[in-house]
Amino acid sequence: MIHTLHALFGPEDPSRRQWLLGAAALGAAAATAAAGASATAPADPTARPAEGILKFANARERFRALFRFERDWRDEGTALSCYQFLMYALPDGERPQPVVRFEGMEFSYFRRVGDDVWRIHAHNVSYPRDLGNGDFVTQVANPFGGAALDVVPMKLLGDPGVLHGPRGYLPLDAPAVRWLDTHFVVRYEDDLVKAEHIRPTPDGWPRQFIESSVSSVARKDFDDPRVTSLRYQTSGFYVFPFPKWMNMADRAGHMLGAWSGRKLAGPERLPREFAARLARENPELLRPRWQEFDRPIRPELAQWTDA
Amino acid sequence: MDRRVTLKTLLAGSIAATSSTVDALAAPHKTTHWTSNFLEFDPITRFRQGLRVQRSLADEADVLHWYHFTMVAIPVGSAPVPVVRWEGIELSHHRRIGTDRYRMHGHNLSFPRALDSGAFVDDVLNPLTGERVKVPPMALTSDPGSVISPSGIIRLDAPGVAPRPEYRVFRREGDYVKLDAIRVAPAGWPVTFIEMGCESTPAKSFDDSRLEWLPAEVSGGYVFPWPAWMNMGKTPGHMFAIWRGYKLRDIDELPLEFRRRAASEFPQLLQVDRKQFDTPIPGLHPG
Repeated sequence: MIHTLHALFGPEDPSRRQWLLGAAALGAAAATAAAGASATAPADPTARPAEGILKFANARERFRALFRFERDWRDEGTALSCYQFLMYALPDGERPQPVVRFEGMEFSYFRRVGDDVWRIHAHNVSYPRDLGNGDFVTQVANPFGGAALDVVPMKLLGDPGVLHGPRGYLPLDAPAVRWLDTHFVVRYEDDLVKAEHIRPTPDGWPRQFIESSVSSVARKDFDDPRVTSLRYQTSGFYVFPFPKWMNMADRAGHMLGAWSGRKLAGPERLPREFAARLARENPELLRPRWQEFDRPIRPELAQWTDA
Repeated sequence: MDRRVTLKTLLAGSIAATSSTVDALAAPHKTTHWTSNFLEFDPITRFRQGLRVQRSLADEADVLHWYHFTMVAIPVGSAPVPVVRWEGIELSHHRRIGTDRYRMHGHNLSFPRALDSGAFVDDVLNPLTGERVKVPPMALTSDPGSVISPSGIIRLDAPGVAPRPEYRVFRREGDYVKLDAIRVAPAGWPVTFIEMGCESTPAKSFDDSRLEWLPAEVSGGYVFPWPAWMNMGKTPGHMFAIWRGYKLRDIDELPLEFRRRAASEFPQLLQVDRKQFDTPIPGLHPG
């Protein structure tokens, strides 16, 4: 018999609240604990609802759930995700068209710099693949006519870094201290826990940008505070302006990328063909770029406090 | 198979693929690359494999998808903004009418929910205009039906038109098989429309050719014009929605709150009107 949604929007379950607070406290300890350390089991997991939206007690609890999905509770760590995504072009007034497939990874590395604030740096690499057969490509047909489009690998190496804490995100190139809030919802679905996240757009980015994802993990991992990093399966999309290689000149419209992927244990788990190409072309990108942390944070941004 | 079993089947792939995270913490990393390769099929096999993942290979079957989705408004030249969450179903029925040829009819039903709390709502703030707008449930019941085959899809409001090919690419990723699919709108639909999805099924189930129906987790999105309730007038722009859900066995697996409301307000939409199959299809394209 299925679990039902009767607990979804019903009275809050006090045992769940107690468990969550316990999990957060345990998580802090687990972040520095050695692997395999014993952990206290959460209080009566069966008392929590089968389905529903999790209510966080405060911004700190909410942040810790998000950070555990996207990064790791450890003081210093890495998070690697890989994905395939299809890119679509949406010129105003014309039929949207698929253009190219990409296979890529996002590699982030982070250090705790405050009670609940981490500094994060990251890089992304994605290689274009043929829409139909998935082969690596350097050219794709222009769905709106005209010459074939030269499409190049995407290597995003200029990320300025960001601080992430209960107040949100603070990009390290922000002109002023303005923490960016985020839309983050966690839902139980029977044996799965899903995290829905709409990321904020930093100041100075193209206005027509949004990125949103739904990531799911096994509930038993979410319920286990020894798990400092949740290995999710994820899908999502982002909206962004036409890239230069689309040759859209000043036409109105935008692109849309829709992805499906997962968080991996480390670079050794990257898909073989992708990893082989990266090892050949940019082997240094298979490792965290810890040297990014050598750059000092501007003093006016470095005055973070917990929420 | 109830929804818990469906989820467990899907999770079995997930857990096996990543191993238990705790186990992974305790053990040194294995140098085992994730399998990721494209599967090549002839058009008929691709169609039949697609049916197993997306629907069922049975000659006749109800097919039910349940999902949550978030709608985002994308005005021209301005920042996209999330507007409302929905919980919904797509319920359809197909019947085999020839070799690898199926006729299907179906409908969708979705109820709006608040973005953050998830509570059912009947109005939301239009973040672009600042106006509170009424959001009615979406009961999409005017689909004319279609005929699908390896050649593509024929919509039954234009049965004489040649089938439109459908994009389906399969990938094997570790213990999963994923199907990327794109549905392009038929002629006559608003130009600002496209629908894309990625369906994921355990490779173990996929490899068992005895199984006509495969459990699937679905994610995807669609682009569509401003709905009337957004009151956007002639403002240029469009909407985008992203969903995540499952293929379920039947309505008994639906979350109780959704099912109760559907049974109370739209009881007729908890089943497919089979009478539609009695209507002949004059001039059906042979493709």
